[in-house]
Amino acid sequence: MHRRILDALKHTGNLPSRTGLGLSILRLTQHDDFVLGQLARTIQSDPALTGRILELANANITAPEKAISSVEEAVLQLSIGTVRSVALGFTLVSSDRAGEGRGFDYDAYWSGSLIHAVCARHLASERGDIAPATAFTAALLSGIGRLAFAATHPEEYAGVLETTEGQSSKEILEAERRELGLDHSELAAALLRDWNLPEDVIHAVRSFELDPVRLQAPNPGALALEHVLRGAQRLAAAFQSGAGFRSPAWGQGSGETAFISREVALEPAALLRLRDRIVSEWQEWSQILEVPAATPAQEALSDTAAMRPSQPGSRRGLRILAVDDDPVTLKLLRHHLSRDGHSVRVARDGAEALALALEARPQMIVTDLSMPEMDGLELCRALRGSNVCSDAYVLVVTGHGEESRIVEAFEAGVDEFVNKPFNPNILLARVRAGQRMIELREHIELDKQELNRQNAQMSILNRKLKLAAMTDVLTELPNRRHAMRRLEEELASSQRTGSPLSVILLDIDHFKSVNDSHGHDVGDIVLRETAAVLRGCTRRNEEVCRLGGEEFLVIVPDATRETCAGFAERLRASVEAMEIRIGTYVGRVTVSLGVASLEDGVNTVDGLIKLADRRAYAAKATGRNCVVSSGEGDGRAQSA
Amino acid sequence: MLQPNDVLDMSVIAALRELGDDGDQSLFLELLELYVDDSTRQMERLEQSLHAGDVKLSERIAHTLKSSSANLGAMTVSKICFEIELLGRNQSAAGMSTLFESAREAHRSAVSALIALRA
Repeated sequence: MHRRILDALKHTGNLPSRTGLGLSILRLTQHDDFVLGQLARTIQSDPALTGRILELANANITAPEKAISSVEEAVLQLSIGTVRSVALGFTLVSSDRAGEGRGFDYDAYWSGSLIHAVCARHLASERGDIAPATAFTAALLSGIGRLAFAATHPEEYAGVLETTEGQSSKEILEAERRELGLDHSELAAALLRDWNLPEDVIHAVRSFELDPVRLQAPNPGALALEHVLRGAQRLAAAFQSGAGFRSPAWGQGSGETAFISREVALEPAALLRLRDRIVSEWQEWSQILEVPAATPAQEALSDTAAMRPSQPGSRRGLRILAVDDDPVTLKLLRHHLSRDGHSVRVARDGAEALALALEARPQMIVTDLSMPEMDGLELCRALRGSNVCSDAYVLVVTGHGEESRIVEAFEAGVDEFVNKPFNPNILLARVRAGQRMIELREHIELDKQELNRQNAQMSILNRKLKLAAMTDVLTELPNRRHAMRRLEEELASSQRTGSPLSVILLDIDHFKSVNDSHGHDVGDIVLRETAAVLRGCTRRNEEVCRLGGEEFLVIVPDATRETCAGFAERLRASVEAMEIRIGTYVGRVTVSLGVASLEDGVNTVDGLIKLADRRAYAAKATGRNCVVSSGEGDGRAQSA
Repeated sequence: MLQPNDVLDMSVIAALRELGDDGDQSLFLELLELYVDDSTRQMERLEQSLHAGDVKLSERIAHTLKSSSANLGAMTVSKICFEIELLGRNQSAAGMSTLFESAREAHRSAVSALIALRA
């Protein structure tokens, strides 16, 4: 079981990543002057991607004690280009996680891992004996076993999650071992070992949830890290419960505070000092993450799911992004639009709207004209210039006194406008008109895709037809038409470069009697087998073609008549050695061959073939099963 | 219909009251709260920015107040704010400060009229 799960996860690309992370990275790396730390930070918002980047960085490290455990170091170790392409490819490919891991709450997993990591970093830096970046990584990856279960065994794991809901981590680990053969901390440790992470990180991840069972730590650093992870997890749990540190349970001297204080060997007072620092950092992270965080400020983000592209067949509402700096207008817009069946997200200014638009890909944007930071027109220009939202329908809401900007607005790429304060009926009528436009455009896009698909099929079909026109059906060798064309090309090339060119004309002896005494079916088999032997004897630039009947032509570029005669002799011997078995019948055939070459003084395709044909006839006349490569019409005078 | 000195345009209020289903007033009350809180804060910001001589910021705040006030039928506030916005566009800082006093007065009346509607 263990090995099987690991194999399934050989590449961390199999672990799902957060939707939208790739876009964040696009946004960050759009400008040349992006800050390295910012990129590392964005990578860190995703445990699966962090694992992949660390794995890559550690692939070049030979000494175990030099293993890299922080994303910043990994980014320095790898080139920026590598990091960027891995990050992008990785997250974009795996961004669609529909249908994976039923019952597994991905957003909770991601935000939970991150808050755990933030807490661990602060605890480590307060203690001073562990690198904060290492503590951060260890905590971030500590739950990756759960993600791996959800990705590789969605059905079984959903069952485990269902039966253990609300139970302690000890009971969950036991249920995992029972149902899946190993628990998520064993799996996480195995993954980290596979990614060549340092031994103390592996130990800490393996052990921190096993309380009160303790595993032997390989060194004091590993033990310290284990304690930090355990303490950080309790801190993170308090955060995720929504109470933050404000509940009475978090007073100085309370049970939880005392536990963590003991666990991480920090004074309760020092622990409480950390509180505000963690709160403010968590706010920053939740900005990057854009996942529901347990803070009121993030309330608006909880309806992310409503903005996912609608499934085919679901009711026809648009994904609309409404943008206005006035909360009253925003609330009214949301009310009217969602009542008309659309899914609505809101932003308070252009910059926020842009970020949201890149992630949620709204079909329509209803925006105010003047806003602080980035106004409606700047927003529109930015969207039109982006790859992701360039075709969103933009409806701008203009206030009294802004009429003069309407022309400018259309130039910026706005599709339609409505006056403010808006009459709801007029607003909705304009939205519906826009919806017709959007649907029309989407239809055209679909038609275009269908057309492209048909074109592709057509060209494949054309290629097949062309191939068929040039191929002999029975032997699958190129046919006479191909032979003539190829020979023309070779002749022209030889005349240009002065290189030699020879051909062999080859005829199966007594083929008529094979057909007469054994039937055409046997005759066909003889043709096929002979063709196969001839093909088996030719090298890269030589080509065997079937001219018709029992007649074959071998084109031999770059060969003098003498060389070609030697080759013809090998062909003769190979055919003679061939045994054809059909049921109880065992047959042998022989061939007569005529060789002709440019050295013979012919300078046309027709002349070459006719000369070779005469020599093959001469070979028949001299008793068959032999090669004739001279005489019989040498020279120009007799070629006609 | 709106008389020049009316504090609130009651037709706007009536339309807002009809937003909820079956006479449900909760959305109307939420909008009212939102406006009272936000516009009061914006009025304070406007006063500070005028005091600091920041014409551009003042113009922007007046612009926002203009449309949010119109949403709640506070047409007089909206009208005066529009005039402040226009003066801002013409860089007339002195005129803006003079008009601000009447905007604040109109806003006070509008807010008390709105609060009275809550009952």
